[in-house]
Order: sequence, then structure tokens, then C-alpha cells
Amino acid sequence: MNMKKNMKVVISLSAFCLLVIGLTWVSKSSKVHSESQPQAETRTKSGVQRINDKAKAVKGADRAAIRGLTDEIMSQYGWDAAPSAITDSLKNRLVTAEENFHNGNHKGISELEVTRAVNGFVAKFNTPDYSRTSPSEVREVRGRLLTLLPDFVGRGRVENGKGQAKRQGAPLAEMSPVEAAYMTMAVAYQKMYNPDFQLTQAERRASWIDKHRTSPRSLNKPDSELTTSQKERQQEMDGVLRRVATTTSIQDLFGLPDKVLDVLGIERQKKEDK
Amino acid sequence: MKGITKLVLVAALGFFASGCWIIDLIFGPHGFTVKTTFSTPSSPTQRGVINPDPNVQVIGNFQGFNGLGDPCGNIQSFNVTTGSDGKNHNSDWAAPAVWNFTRNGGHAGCGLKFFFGRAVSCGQTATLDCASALAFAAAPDSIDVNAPPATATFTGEGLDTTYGMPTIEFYDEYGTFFNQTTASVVSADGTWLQAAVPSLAGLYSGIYTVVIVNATADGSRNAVGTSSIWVYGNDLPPPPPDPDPDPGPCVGGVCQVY
Repeated sequence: MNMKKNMKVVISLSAFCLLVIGLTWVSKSSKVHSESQPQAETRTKSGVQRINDKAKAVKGADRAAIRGLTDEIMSQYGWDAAPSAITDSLKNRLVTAEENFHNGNHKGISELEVTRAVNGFVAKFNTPDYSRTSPSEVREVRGRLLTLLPDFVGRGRVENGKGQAKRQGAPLAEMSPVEAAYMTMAVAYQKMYNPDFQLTQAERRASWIDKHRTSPRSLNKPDSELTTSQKERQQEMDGVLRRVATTTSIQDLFGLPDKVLDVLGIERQKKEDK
Repeated sequence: MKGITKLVLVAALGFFASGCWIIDLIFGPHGFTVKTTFSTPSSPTQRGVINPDPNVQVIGNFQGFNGLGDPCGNIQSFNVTTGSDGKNHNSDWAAPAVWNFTRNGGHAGCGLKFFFGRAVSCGQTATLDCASALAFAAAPDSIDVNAPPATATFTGEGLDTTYGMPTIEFYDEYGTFFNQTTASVVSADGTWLQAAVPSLAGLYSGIYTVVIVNATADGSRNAVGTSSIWVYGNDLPPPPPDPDPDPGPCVGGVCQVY
């Protein structure tokens, strides 16, 4: 029965792709040519500015403003290409959790939970050891993104546009559900594409000690070339991503985002909430 | 009928999920993807974080096939804008080949950037990164913890004194809040401010993030920009982070396996 079902899926997938190939073939000439695309929607603000603006608009448990922020962060990590049947349910789950967070009915999410969510991919897809992360690495990414997204990162619970008072020595506030989802995507992105973050725990410690040992006096550091090992890891990760994309079942892929939110401690919505 | 609808849905979902990998599987990868990103400014103690840079204009000019395989595309020049995730793919862009790229716009300060002689293989992604600068420049940008200056100046734009003087918040490289101070002078055109440097006693050497916040009518937070300052002179570092193994997806014996 299951076999039959799988066959149906494979046949329909192949048919769909062949249809796409056919259409593509017909619509293109085989000659050498150039391509010019009409300018996409004019965007005067950068992606970072748009996130900051939408985060600023969230002054409490305001569902519409939270939805705007959620749409923006998911859009920047490629979710616009996903079927709305999937993204809508995810966004609703996040928006409800964020509303509850600002109302004081949802706990903040820790860096440990984001770490577990990212390392869940490592376990699931058997990716290399250097794709694991740790709470301090998640904190490091938050610290760096604070410089870009000061209205969003570490803002914590907001009431009437005001966050909690800051005390000296206080770490960044625990994450709201939307910030946690953003950080999970941001850290996973570093692990997939950023050679500086493709390091095992031992290498991260060694790098940290090295960077903090000396007393450099200038903020300007020349760009450095990638080492051979960094290039090899980037190639390996490219291969891993291709393997994951081509061997993971559809059912698995579409069930994944909800499971990630489970690990982050974001409740699933009851049917009547949807 | 219901079965057909189901199959079409599954096929559509499969197409999205796989990027129609069956095409690649049957015919091999075609064309390539351009991806625009920006990274946080480099610093002596921190790693740069890469972020998608959406809606950036990219102009590509083919320089020649590089002989590293059979051609898998025909288009030899393009002028496109990357999507909301900073990507644009075309399965007819010529590869394997050498291309020159120009990116225009995106993250503040990125402007026009050129990438010459990029080798791109079939199905590969050409990443066009922009190392960004922060919105405000600090002067001085490095401070001896044992002899700090009385004041520091931050230059940028958008400072507003309508509802009071802007606040300057200081954080360490992990985002731990350290102190804050209020601007003493702000220029009439809102492009610079001067503030007293708070006590730095006990600070370790490292990069500190400065967040500048405009005062608002309702007291809500309105960050106008950020800057960085290198503090030196107290090199005894705290111990390196995370001596324990990286945590997996299991909590208290219960595993949330994806």
C-alpha cells in the first residue's frame, strides 16, 4: 500500500517536472542571448531597515504588527517560495506565540533552545560535526546582529512600546518566539554558508582564545582569503545541502518546520485557534 | 477527482521542496544562482555574520567558458534583481564559465560593488557579499580602559532631539548590557553627537557595541543606529565559552527528533 503511494508520488513529481521542462524548453530559444528582467518591486529600504521598522511597529501584543514582522523575517529566509498552505499555519503559530509572549503568557526562549533546534538538523541529516552550534555561539550571533537590528534583537517583552529596564551586566533578554525563529534561521545560515562558523567546538575554542589573546588597536582588519580547509568545508556543505534536498521525503520536509518550533517550545495551535 | 487533486498538490509541494531536482537528476544541473548577502563589519575579536541581502540589482557579464565541463546555459548577460531572500536563479545562464558581476543597492553603504573573474559551475551559486559598515562612526574608535577620554563623538544621521537628548547604550560582544549615557551635544542637522564616556572600570579588552536611541514622545524605544568601539588595556580574558559538549535535541532523556 505504502509502496503504491510512494510510486504515485514519484510519478506525479516526475510528471510535474517534465511538464516544467517542456514549458521551459518551448519558451526559450537556444540562441545565445541576454536577459533583462523588469525591476522587481521597488524597495527603497534595505532588508535590515525593513526588519527594524517592523519590529519598531510592534509595541505590544498587536497581532497585525507582529504578523508584519513575521512575514518580513520569513520572506528574507526564502519562505515566500513555499506554498501558503504551509507558511500560513507556521506564521499563525508564531504570531499567536508572540502575542502571548508580549501579554506575559509565553515564556522567553533561551539560546540553549535555539542551539537544540539547530543541532537537531545535524542529528536528522547527519551533517558534519562543524555544523553543530552551542549556546555561546548563538549568543555571539545575537551580539553581532544587535549591531544591525537594535530594534529587534534582545528586545524582550514589550508593553506600550517600552521594553524592560536594562540593568548593568544583564545579558540580552530571552528571545521572543519570532526572534528565536529568526535566530534559528540565522545560525543555520551561518553553518551552511559562512566559513568562519563552520568550526567544531574545539576549533571554536581555539579561535576564540586566539582572537582574545592579543591587543589589536584598530577596528580595521584586512579581508583574509579562505584557507584550503575552509574551501573544502564549503564544498562539503554544498554537497550536504544537495544530498538533503534530494533524499529527504516530502512528508519529512514539510513536517520539519513544525518540529523545529516544537523544540523551541512554541506551542502548536489548537484547531479552534487557527 | 479527489485523488487527482491530491496528486497535483503533492507534485506542487514536491516541486517546491526539491527545486525540481528530478530535472537536475536527469539532465544534470543547469545555469546557476546569484545570491546577494552582506556581512557584519570585521573586527579583531569577532567573526563576521552573513545575512541575506534582498532586492539587490545584479548585472552579469559572461567572459568565456572555462572548459571545466559541457556548457549548461546560453544566456551571456543579464540584469536582474534578487528576490526577498537575496537569490535569483536562471537555468539558462551560461556555465561553467567566468563572469563579471556588478551589484547595486541593498544594505546601507553597500552601493555599487564589482566582482571580476568569478568562475561559476553548472548548478552553483555565485555569492556576491558586501562587507557593511555600521551607521555611526565613533571617534575615538579605540579606548584605553586605563585612560579613557572624557567624551566620544558619534557621526551618522537621523539624530533627533525633539523629545530629549538621545541615549547611548553600551554592550559587550555577546550583547551584555554594560552602561548607558545621554548625549551632551547634538548637531542641529542631526549628524553627530557628543557624550561623556561612562566609567570603564573592570571592562575587559574587546569590541563593544554602541546603540544610539532617539527619545520619543511616548517613551518607546527608537534606535537610530549603532557603532563599535575597541576597548584595550585589560587583556585578562574570561574563560573560553562552552566547555561542555554541544547540546543535542534531547532534553531530560526526551528527544525531539525531526
